[in-house]
Amino acid sequence: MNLRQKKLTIGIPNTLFSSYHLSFWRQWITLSGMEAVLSDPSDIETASRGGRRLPHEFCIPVKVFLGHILNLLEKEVDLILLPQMISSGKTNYFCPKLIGLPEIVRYTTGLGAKRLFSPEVSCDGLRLQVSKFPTLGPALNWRMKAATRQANVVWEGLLAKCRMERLTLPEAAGELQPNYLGNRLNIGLLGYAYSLYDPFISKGIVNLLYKFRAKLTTWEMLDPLEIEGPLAGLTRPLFWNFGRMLLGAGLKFLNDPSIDGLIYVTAFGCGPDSVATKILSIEAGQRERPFLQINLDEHQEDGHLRTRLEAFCDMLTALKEE
Amino acid sequence: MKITFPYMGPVLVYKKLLERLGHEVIMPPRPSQRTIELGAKYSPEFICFPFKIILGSYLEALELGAEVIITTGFIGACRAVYYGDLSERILRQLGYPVKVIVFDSPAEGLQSFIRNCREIGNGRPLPEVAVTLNLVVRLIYASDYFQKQINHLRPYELCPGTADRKWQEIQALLESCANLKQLKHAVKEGGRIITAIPINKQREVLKVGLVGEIYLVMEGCSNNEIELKLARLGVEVVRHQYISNWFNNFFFPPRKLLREAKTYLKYAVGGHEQENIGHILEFKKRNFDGVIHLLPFGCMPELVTQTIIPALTTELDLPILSLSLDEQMGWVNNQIRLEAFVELLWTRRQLLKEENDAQFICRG
Repeated sequence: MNLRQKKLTIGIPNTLFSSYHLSFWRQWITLSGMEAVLSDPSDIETASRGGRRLPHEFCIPVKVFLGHILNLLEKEVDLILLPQMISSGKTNYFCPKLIGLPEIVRYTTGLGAKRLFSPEVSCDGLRLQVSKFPTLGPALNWRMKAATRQANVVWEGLLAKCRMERLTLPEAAGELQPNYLGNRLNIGLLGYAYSLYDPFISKGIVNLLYKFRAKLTTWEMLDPLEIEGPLAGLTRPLFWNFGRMLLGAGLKFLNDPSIDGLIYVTAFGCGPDSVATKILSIEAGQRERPFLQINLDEHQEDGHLRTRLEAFCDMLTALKEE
Repeated sequence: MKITFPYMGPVLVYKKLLERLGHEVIMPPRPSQRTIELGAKYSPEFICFPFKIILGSYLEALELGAEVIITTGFIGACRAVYYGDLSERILRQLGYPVKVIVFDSPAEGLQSFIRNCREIGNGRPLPEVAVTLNLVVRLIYASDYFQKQINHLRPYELCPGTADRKWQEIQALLESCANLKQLKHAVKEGGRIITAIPINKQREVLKVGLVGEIYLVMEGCSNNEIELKLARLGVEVVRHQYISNWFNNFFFPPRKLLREAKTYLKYAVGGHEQENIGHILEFKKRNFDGVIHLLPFGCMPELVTQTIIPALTTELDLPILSLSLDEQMGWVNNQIRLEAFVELLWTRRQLLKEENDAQFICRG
């Protein structure tokens, strides 16, 4: 392929893994001399198109993800980025649905392997490692190898910014504006980036909490050591890397008196969270700390969500005033 | 130390092992509707169905006075990894001062494995433990061998229910074995019992493979005795998931089977999904009429298999029925799906036969 004539366009589905590592992937693709195209923000159409092609028991993030893939196909990109997630080490796994993602996409959309751009990737929750590059000619491969380190620098820079300025991932990346209205409360907010920061999936929980004049603390704002510390006390910490961060952060929040309450946002039928939330709710019960778990699915009505969040915030305020 | 264990596979054999090591064993009752209700009540809502059953059976065993639970674990991406730990937390929260001993594979933590073995070994001398283990492993293989025979014969039996009654007899026989000599005798006797079951070998039956999540496939109480129900519909059910097969696969991974499955699913995602795909391919090669795939509601690895199944069905020209089960005990909808599936398989067989006949006549 002659690179000078036309740049190869790579479609990035802007959900699931990209909710964490979008800055990495965008940087990596641009530095390798290709063009990155993002999918449109998710909406009800994305979810229902994806959901129709999957067994109905899948969680909403995967359904939305498939909708994003279909959206990218309409944009006529050359290739679609779909990393093959593999485990690195013995205690570091992705959720099975994420490991099987390339197969799920291939068998539900009929996309051939030639349309997919699948580097093999492992991640310890923070740093991404690309272990196998897709074969696109020697020149491009060499560039991809060189770009990995720089892209990791960008990603780690973003995380450092989150920690320094107490911002959530999309706020640090400049995609969302922090919307502080006060810090009546300090809430520890837990949830996977792809459900929490996607305004369609989470129905704007982050903004709602800002509206109730809460200050938010999330796992990105913690030092990795603060997350690992409480995990060391468990006989069997979680082996899923994203879930592990949340459990560690949750346990840290429970020990931290400056956090008024915990909210765990999860998706209906999420496997790793069924374990993590149970552990957290038992621990929270033992320490008598307020803990709210919210399950999300495709339902669009958000009145009940508003009521529950408001009630929780009111309760926390009352507790604080006591 | 009053000890109990999860209800899975040849439970009588586990009881024998622990008793010979000098423990007092509290036998977990066979899971019933009450067990499942108890388990579902105290489990996280979205955890898989087998956890709910196992937690329920722990609770019933604790009511009978158990103090220690032994179970197995491993390291991986499937939730089954946390069964032991999570149940211990839940039971402690409910106020039971229970201790859960989780046996990981020795490759994943030799020290804790040895420590656990010491604790369970109860200070018995090593040669005695070795003799017991030898007997127990042989008992497991014998028990699985007879269960396979019974599953094979069930659709052919003249008087429905005979095979299952005989299975109870064989189990009692195996349980009474105290040494290898008695086991040898029991195996012979078991063989005689099996040949004595009156059968009608001429009966035309369908052959269906059963794949899926290991607990649901193995445990009749969790899948509403699907093997018995299919046998009543004139279907012989073949499955590859037995404890003895699990041993075999653990020590000698089925390389060829996995290689074939890898063309469909490149990486293992944590459960038995690659083995299941391999078994589906193998069932096709053995000319089975269809395959039934069982998964617990929301099972992560088997959901990946389920997305591949439509492609497998068209590619192999093999009917596959996926059934997702949970604590909803109503069976009628599944029964109707099973009956419709069996009907479809009979029609397919008939059509294939007619097609063959037509080709035969045309060729003259």
